[in-house]
Amino acid sequence: MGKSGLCPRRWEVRVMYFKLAARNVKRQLGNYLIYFMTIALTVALLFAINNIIYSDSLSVFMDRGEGARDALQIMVIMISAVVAFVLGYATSFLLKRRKREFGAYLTLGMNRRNILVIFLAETFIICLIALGAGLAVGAFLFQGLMAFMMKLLEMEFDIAAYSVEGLFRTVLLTAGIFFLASAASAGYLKRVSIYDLIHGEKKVEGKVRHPFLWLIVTIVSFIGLAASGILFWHKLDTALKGGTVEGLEYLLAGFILFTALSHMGAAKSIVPFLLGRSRFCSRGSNTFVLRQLSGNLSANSVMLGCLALLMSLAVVGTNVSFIQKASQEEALNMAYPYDIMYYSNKYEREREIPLQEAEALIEEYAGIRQMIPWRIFESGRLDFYSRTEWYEEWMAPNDSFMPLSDFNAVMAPLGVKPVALDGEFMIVCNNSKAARPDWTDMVWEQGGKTYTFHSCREDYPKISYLYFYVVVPDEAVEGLDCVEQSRAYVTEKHMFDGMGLKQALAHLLWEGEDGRIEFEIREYARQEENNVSAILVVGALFASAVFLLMAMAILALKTLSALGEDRRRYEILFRLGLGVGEQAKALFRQTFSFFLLPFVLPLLMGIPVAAAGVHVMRMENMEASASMVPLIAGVVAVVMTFLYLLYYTATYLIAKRIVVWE
Amino acid sequence: MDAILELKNVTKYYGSGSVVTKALDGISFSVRKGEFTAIMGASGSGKSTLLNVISTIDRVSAGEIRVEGRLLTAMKEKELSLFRRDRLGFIFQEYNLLDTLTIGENIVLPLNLKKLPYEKSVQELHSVAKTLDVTEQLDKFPHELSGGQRQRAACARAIITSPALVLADEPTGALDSANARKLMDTFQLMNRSLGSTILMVTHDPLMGSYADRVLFLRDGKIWSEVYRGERSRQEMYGEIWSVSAALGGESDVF
Repeated sequence: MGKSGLCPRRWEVRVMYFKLAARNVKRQLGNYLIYFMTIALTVALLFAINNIIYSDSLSVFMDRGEGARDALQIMVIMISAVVAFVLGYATSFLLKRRKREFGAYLTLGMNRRNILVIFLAETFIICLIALGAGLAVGAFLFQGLMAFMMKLLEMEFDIAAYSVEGLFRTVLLTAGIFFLASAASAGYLKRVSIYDLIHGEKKVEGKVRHPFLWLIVTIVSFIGLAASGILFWHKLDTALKGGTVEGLEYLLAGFILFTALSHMGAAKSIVPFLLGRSRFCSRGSNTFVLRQLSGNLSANSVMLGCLALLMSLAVVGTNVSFIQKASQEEALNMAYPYDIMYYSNKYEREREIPLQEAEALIEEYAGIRQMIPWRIFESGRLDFYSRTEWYEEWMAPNDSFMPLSDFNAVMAPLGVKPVALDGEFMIVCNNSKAARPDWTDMVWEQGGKTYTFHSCREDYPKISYLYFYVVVPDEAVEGLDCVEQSRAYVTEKHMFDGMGLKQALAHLLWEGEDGRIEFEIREYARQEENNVSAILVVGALFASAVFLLMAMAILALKTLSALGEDRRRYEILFRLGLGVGEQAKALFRQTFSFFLLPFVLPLLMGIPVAAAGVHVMRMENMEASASMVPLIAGVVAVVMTFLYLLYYTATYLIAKRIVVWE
Repeated sequence: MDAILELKNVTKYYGSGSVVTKALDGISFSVRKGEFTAIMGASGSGKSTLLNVISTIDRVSAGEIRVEGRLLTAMKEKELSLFRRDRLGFIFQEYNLLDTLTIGENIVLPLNLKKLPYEKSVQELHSVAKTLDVTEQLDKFPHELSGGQRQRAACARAIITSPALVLADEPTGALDSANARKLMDTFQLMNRSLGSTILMVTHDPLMGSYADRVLFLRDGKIWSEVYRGERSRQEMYGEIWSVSAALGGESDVF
């Protein structure tokens, strides 16, 4: 007691508030479950990704990973901002759910500040416990992600050490998120009227205005989405055929706009449309469920549009990153058909290459099983290029020729059947533009002989950087200038220290200003691509997980925040004779429809993404990867659906416990 | 005797261990078909508990309750739900209309829950709406209506299934006196023209005076009973006042 013996001291009041908050947390455990799960999982994800960024095991990779650490850090901060916004929203839901209780505190003589202190003390306790639980889950998640990352990087996995920096940053971000969320609550408490706190906002959702207009918006948006997809497909085709692609930013803007608008429109038009079907409504509790949904969907249409967009990005991002990873090996084999390739162009070479010493290094690192030399000749003319777009663009180099024997020799180890040319020439394209002209009437004269068109092929392994080259009978290159004497190597070991060999060769050979050396090492390229794809896959997975988590959390909390009113309505249904099972069914239809609406399109988005993936793979002649794409899309869809259903089930069970009358 | 409702030694305890409250203490009475019965008594006398056990929302501790000869106290949860849906009608103090549904949707809801064919439901809706004069309000939402209109809509919902028994819990509690009288006129219309059997809990002698019979509860027992017989409503009102006074000033009336 205070000096007077009647007034409690300030610290006693604070202890009382804290005790009240602790008791409330215990009592409101069911309501706080989703909130707790969301914060704990967010902390777990942040802890895992922060530990990856600051992991000692990955520090070498991160330090030379072209800003990989910076990119991941920026992503983590951006995602934390999204999380803070979402949790701010979520906190205000919790506040609204308990406004009558807080209203009662007001009538007992507390002021708004006291209520805010109690509420913040409650959320602080939850956040603190969630931080502990999140760190514990995150510790396992980090090891799992590290094992996954190490596999992507083809490095040995050992239990990874945790980083103090990672822990510090996670706690800092969580504190930041808590303070932003608290600010949102303080804002709400400052704005809300005492009457609304005590009586609850008796806002009744009436009829949706202009449902027909919204139906048109929905239909137009879906048409717009389909059109964006078709246009993207065409642009993809153009890009794959070597064309220039412009206006992708407009397509992206269209995708974002139409995804959001289609959901806003659907939220405002589907239910009024169904409510207009009297026969459908007259069955059981259909009218009740539809009216419940009507208010909910209409009031949250913008939010649903944003959530659908977030989840669409999650689905597209995850699919693209996994498809890229799955096709990496095949794409690499297409780009680097040989283990090692030595390119020697006499115009680009400024000094003698110590080839014997270089080959000794290759022998040391990988062993040489086979070496195949091949040559490129130039006529100094533009007989072939004059038919192409490069000529029109003043970008055409001289025509390049490869003797047939060299071609067959360099293609044989790659499993290509030998080609026979009898007074003919064959055009081998490395760029799709080269296949566009009509070559069939082309006649080439050389050394007094005339050569006619044999074929134009795009499907041979790419061994040269030329746009295209012409394979001709050996006698046709007599008298032409030999500009390139290159070598392809098949090594004893296909997996070796590519980075070490690259460094050793770079040390031996002079590097130009661009750092290019004449040797191209597939194993080095593979390790480099592994680094990129590891960041891409882990980053996309992290972003997708957070987006999905946030979307699910918002839907769950939004559903739970309205349960106070729903409980009263279900009580009326109970009194009118709706049994427990039927109430549960009505609640299921009500909540599941609300959860389902923003998830259907993102889930279906996997289909066009997979179709585009298959198309790209086929265009690039990667049949094995093409067959993997639908499987990847299927797995992504199943995993996301599973997580979504898990969250929904938790929400439904809590709602059922609160709402259904027995 | 064509009794719709029969109660035999109905007892209800609340609480457990050393803290047990006897809310109903061996109550027995019956209500005939087409009878309008009011239950009055002081706060804590057991009025609401009695209505809750009859309406199957609460279970009895001992005794039997029969409606149309069916023993409610032996029914399982699912049977009770169906029974409530098909044979009972409810009118509450706070209207208990669903705020998200229009008045028409609220009234027809019990028929929808019974899965009655659409045409038949619409026919019943228009018939009952015309009888209780709520046709003009069918497309409106509850918040667009006055208290009296809302309670008339609640009456329409209560009788649309032609229930064996209409249970009303302080139906005039949220209404001003003019609307309360109008509602009682509606109850009389339901009772006399439509033949509804009504059991109403009220603390207002004026509202009780509309009933054919008034049961007075005290400490969970029936303390007294007043029959209208051939008396006018004015005389009935006077009788209720007298009995209430005899209750010892413990009724809510005083």
